[in-house]
Amino acid sequence: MTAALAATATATGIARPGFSRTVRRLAPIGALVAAFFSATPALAVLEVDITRGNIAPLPIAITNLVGTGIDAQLGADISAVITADLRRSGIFAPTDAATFIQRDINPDEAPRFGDWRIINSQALVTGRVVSQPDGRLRVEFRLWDVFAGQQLDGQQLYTTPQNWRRIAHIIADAIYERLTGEPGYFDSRIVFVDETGPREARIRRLAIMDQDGANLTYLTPGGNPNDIVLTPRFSPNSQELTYMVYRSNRAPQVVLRNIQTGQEQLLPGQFTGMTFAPRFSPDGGRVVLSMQSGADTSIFVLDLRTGGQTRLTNVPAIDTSPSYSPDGRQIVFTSDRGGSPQLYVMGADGSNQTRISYAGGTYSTPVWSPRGDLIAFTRQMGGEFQIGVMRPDGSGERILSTSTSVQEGPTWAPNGRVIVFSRTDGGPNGGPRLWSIDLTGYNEIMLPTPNFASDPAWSPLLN
Amino acid sequence: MTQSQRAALVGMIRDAVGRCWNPPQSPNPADVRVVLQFRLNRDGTVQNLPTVVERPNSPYAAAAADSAQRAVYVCAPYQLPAELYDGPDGWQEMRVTFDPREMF
Repeated sequence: MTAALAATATATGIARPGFSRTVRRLAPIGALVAAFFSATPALAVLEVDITRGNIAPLPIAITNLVGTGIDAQLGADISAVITADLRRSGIFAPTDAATFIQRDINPDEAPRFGDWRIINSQALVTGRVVSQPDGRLRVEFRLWDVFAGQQLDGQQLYTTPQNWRRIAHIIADAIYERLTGEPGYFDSRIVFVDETGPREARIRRLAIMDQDGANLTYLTPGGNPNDIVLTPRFSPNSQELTYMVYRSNRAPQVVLRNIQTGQEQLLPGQFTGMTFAPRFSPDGGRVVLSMQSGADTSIFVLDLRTGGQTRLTNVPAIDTSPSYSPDGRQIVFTSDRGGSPQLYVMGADGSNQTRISYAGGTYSTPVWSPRGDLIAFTRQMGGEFQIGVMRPDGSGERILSTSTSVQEGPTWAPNGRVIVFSRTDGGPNGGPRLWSIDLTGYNEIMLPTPNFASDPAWSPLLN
Repeated sequence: MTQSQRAALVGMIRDAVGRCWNPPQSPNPADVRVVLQFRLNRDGTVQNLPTVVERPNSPYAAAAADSAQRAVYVCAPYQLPAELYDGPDGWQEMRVTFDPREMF
């Protein structure tokens, strides 16, 4: 059953056959008359300096993309996915469609802005879906600033009908970027370890889903509780994974997997000890990992082309959980060389190993933000498990989430604004679930997974 | 207009517009600093789309300018002292700097 599931999923969900996307900018409708001020202010103009605003979710009305026949349903479905993405981000407050006054949306005309101001929507999305003679879909959307009465963005996208959810995520990303000034993160996926069965005989399967929980696919069959999969991580192009497998009591090994073909292979080169905690370098050409040898564990980097290994740490301690900075020049890792697990940063060649965590307790599972500005980590102190961030020099430490349940393993959204981690609630029927939280420490929500889920890793943007 | 009248007027405008300003959340406030100039009618409504006099040289420029323009519109009409509408430093025309340096 599981093998069949995996095979089906590989054919439809992962390979995404025939996907192609063409983006064209739509010219603005109803451009405004240019403002009449000259660049030089009159002397008498009153000057006001505003230094504080009011952070609140932006009210945005997302109308159903219009269409005829089956295109109308698809338009409604696409709008529903856009709405869910934007609402879940916590940055937007989609307006209740029941309050909409203008119902006759013509995607080729400017909307009646007054109708949208009355219901306090500050932004508005309109658009259409048109099936093409060649079987593809043409999806158009326009983003409007309701109060200024102007078009902010307009795009035309072409794709195959089975990719309608991706088109919705791509549109949601475009809206997010135009209104926040930062890239979005909706057109991305999360890989994790799916856990079913009783605690003493858990079945662990590698699973992948869209960031909103849709299109869940199992990558490994996982029929045997002795088959364990841990720490899956994406390659920079999102096409490959590296993770640790522990099959039927054989020695644990780090493997590579091509997501599209399902082919799994051992890392090139020979390792003399158990390997674990792998991560790709930002250029995808290397994997950094831990290797145990006797009582000690050290960090090595492996060149995937040549199989050549380089030892980066060499002290009598457990050095693990290495993660590259996005420029590939530095690596953050955990080490207990000072007596307890703490975070250290070193050059990518192993130089200048420097401790950066000093706020007390123990630290683990560091991961560098894709923006480069922060490192997320797990901190354990006084019986509490915390997910936090600090700058790469150890300053500016902030705790985002605290729990008495075990929570660990943060992973960053591609835009570096959201973190997903796993939290294991206790109790006889307890198990891990995936949670996300904003970098602000707000908007903590559980991700929809069908079973228990652990070890999440967020992909880069797919487009 | 006396100094204290002017200070009070500026404070009223600052509070009224700031309440509706929802700036992009950049780690660096200078990335979203925008200066707008616009005119109000006597009834406190906005006369024209605020002109962007200064915008940041950052990826946030468009989102920052839009957020400032929205703030001016969303909080209108403004209830300000009628006697201070005209004349030098009156609220008929103003130039507002949006800089979230005390927020983040």
